[in-house]
Amino acid sequence: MSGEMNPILECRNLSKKYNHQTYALNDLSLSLGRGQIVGLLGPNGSGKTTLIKLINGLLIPSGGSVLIDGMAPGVDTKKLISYLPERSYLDDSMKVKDIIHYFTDFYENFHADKAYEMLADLEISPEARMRTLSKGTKEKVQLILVMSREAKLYILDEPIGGVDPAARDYILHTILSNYSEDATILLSTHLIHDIENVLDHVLFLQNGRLVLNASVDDIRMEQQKSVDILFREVFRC
Amino acid sequence: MLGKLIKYDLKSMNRFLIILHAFLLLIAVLLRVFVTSRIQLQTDEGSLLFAFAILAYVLAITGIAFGTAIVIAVRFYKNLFSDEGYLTWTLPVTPGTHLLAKTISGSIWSFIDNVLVFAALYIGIATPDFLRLFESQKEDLMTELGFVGKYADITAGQLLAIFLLMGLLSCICNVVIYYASIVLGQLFPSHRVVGAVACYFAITTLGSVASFLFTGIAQLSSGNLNFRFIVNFGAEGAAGTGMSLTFVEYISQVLVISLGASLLFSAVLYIISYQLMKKKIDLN
Repeated sequence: MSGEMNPILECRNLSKKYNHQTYALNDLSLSLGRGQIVGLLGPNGSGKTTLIKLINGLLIPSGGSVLIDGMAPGVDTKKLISYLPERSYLDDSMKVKDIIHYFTDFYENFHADKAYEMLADLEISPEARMRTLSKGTKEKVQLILVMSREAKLYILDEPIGGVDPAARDYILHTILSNYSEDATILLSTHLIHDIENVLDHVLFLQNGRLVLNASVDDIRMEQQKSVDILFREVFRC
Repeated sequence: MLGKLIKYDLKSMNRFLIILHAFLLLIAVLLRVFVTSRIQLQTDEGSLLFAFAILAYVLAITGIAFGTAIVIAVRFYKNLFSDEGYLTWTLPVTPGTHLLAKTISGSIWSFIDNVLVFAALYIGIATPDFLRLFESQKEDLMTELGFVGKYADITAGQLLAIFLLMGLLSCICNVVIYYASIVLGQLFPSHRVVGAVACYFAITTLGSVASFLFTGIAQLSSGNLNFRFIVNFGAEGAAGTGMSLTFVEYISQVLVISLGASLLFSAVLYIISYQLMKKKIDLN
């Protein structure tokens, strides 16, 4: 499933070096098909966020290339990708409804009604100013915005990192119920146990290199292990 | 997309700058009501008060112009290179459109600041007494400044239009310098803000030296080495005669040459900023 004819994401010998010395990502090649949920897993500093930033055009590669739906990062690929970074990226002085308006203005595939519906579900007031919200609520607002877009590729960097288990369930439910079947979700996290059941495919990164690229079914069938256990074995300290 | 980006930039800056400039106009009105309108210009009485009023103006204007520059620069930095950049750079917009939108929105506010600073000066200084005094001395003053010959027929409206145009161009140049400093500062990954400030001082110093040399060379090549106030020599033989220039001729020549140099310098900085934003900058 990972290397079909018309992949949504393709990396060819992709490398990123910081400060001309350390490789954050080293000669990474992979291809992701459509319509699946892919876990991007690895310990801290393994290159997950670097890969995600390269796909989003936030970093310039030191070598190799990255293609989204056959195109290098640019205006057209940004229309296709809905990205949730691991940090708070909204202007704190804006109200939630102003941010919804902002997304409506810039993304043709953003559905404001869907966003308002999810805000109501979570009892978040559209009139609230971002700076008055708790860290967890801000994360929920960001996720709602990202999942209210009808994208081809969702890239979620640590979407469940900073919230309580109950909210985690809601977030996973939100992710699963808000993407169309031909869309792909690339999801990076440390909390493998919580998301293992929703993953179709996993990528293990270690020291900037791809050490495993396999479907969850294959891991369970061939190795008779859960992804969580395999992860602990591969990345044992 | 350009229009939308400008709209959100202006919205974000308006919050601070409207308050700042309302304060400027308030100071101007207060100084007019309580200080300048009570000064008797024909006598020496109140000259200390007048000096105080001018000092207060200069401080307020400098502070507010500095504040405006800071708000414009911070908006650029925060929106593109802080955490907010994760949203800004993932909008379906090219780096060129981002830079153009920021340059237009920054220049709009910088220009509004310029206009309001002049408006505040006018509100504060142009008391009926002052205007009467100015009208009575106007002809002598204009002659002494060199508004004779081909400059004699310039109207107040034309002068204002020239000031506004030059003000607008210099606002654009300044905004381009702020942005270029911030973009160049990004090349120092662990000291981005300090790098930007250092780049600003380096760029402005380089700009001043270049402008000085450019002006000098232009004047040398045109053969005009100095000017004279015709107040010392009388109005006869003023504009356009001999080698020396009137004050107005000299100033207009220097302004045009240095503005030309600034525009050229800013165009180079704009292109450098664009290329770096497109091909070099990594978001932290």
